[in-house]
Amino acid sequence: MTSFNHMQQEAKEIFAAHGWPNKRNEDWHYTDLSARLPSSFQNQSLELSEDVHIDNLTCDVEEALQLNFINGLLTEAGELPDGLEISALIDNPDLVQQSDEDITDPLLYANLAHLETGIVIDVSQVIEEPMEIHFHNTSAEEASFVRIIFRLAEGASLTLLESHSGWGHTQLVSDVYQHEDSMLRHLKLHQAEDSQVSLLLNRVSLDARAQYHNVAISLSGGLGRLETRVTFNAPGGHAGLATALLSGGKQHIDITTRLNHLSADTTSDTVARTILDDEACGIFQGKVIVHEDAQRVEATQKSDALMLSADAMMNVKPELEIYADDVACAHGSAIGEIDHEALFFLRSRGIGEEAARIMLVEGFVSEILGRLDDFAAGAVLQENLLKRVATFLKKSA
Amino acid sequence: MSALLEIKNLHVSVADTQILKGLSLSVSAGEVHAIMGPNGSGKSTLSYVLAGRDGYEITEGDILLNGVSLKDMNPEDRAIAGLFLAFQYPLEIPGVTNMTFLKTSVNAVRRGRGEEELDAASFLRFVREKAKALRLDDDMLKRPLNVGFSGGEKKRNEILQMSVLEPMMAILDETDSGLDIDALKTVAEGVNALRDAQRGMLVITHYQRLLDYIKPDIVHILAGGQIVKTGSPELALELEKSGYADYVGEVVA
Repeated sequence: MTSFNHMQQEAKEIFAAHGWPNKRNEDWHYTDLSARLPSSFQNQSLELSEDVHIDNLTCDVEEALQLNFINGLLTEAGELPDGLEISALIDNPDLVQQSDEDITDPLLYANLAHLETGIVIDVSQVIEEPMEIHFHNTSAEEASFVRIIFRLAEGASLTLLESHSGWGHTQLVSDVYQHEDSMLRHLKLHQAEDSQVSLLLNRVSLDARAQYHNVAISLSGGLGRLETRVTFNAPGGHAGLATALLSGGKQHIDITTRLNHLSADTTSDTVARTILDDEACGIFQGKVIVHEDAQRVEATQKSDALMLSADAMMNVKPELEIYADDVACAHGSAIGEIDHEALFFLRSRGIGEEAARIMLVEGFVSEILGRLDDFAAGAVLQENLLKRVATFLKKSA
Repeated sequence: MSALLEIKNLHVSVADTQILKGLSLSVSAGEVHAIMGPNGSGKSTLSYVLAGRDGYEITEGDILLNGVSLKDMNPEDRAIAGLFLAFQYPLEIPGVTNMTFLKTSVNAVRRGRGEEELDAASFLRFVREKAKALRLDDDMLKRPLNVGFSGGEKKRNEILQMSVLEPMMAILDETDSGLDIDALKTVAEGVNALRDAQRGMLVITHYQRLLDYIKPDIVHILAGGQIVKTGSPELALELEKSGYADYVGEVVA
């Protein structure tokens, strides 16, 4: 207990001294938090709000497990199946110490300094039911600071659906430790109000043959950073990160990925599809690092952006850092407009201009949604997400 | 009998360059006309301007389909009015399955024509029957539109679109390009199956070869943005022997 309080005290001191990063920090060059965020958070709720309506992603999935965080506090969790256990992070201070070696990382110290709820979720076997964890803030004054640590035992597997909605400020750090042959399928849906700030850091550590499949969909929210860092510790590990970012208005959404191949014979595949309308600003910073001994790594990274407005802005920073000599790595990036020839083709088949545009844009993101095929309740999720995408596109058309 | 498609003294410019310079032509119901012409004569411009592509400005003249001017109609309304263009280079649309595309297209056209839309089951029956006639298998209906299709598959897919949209007037733009002889025969069979007394067709081609399989009633030679000669199918055979040189000269002079 003391140890946890001690770490939190240290984080508070660092936050007080350094605050939020500014654009002189290379990792935050395109997303200057110091210019956009308050230096302190006052009105954190300490009581659970009642009667909050939450638009769960899995409302149509009967067998789904749902955990809801409202204003940073966990509402009562239902009954958990065998193989799934939840405990309090405060009872496991070692886990925080272990994962936060680099406490100078702004997303870590800011999270720990303000932490309201921390939990550990242990998965010890194959879980068939999808598990949704929903984060919702009820007003612009609310700030949520949550830490979740997932531990997947050898051979365990889980479909995790993480969704974000509401107002205010949400900062989540989720750490995933995957032991040998484990599998995590992770859908992240970011669909908050225009005023919301969402800083979502997701760190994944993969042992031998562990597989991590991430599909992230961002449909709205004022200021967002969806950052995923994966570390490959042993051969056979695979990570697939697929992101669809659809943004309009004056939104600013930053997708940052870092694939750290420490071990030989590991593979990763990063694909980002961005659609920007109005004056939205999108960022894709993708980095693949292949360490000296990590031979036979295969890593690909691709970012494509579709600009629907001349006032939107896209910043792309793809990076490969390769120190091994026997690897197959590739990266590519493209930014363009709607293909006018394709639009004409569809219209010449009787499809109206607006419907044709929507069809092309849906086609552009469908590859990302297609990756949900193997998820538990994948078909229901696809249908649900496609509806949300269509709503976004109709609004922007 | 009045013409199904009537092109009157059509002048078209693209980015301020005059491409078509007074092209006139009329196709009656049930007829197949061929337009042949050398490179740069305006063949593709003609097909695009008929279908209503942006950037092709009609500076003079008119295009009438069944007596109605297409000039101010957008591409989707022309499709609804019964015009169909089979593209020389059909577009690939990743992420949109052929089936979704065909269903959206057919129902948009049916809606526009005041017909009832087809539900999923009746559409499936309808499209499968048409696809079978063109030897397109089910797998091709499930794949993204034209993505990874061979040249022949793309062209057969164009003919499939034509057969499900049931146009009054079809324009085939260099449908033979990129096809080997077997693919050409299959495509031509598909086109021939769609010939009927109500439908007109305009086959635009560079080579005579296609016309061995789709036999036109009338052949026109397009050169320098105008029709310089109109005649019987034998005209195409003459061209095969003597080339376009004689005609290119006529307009320049």
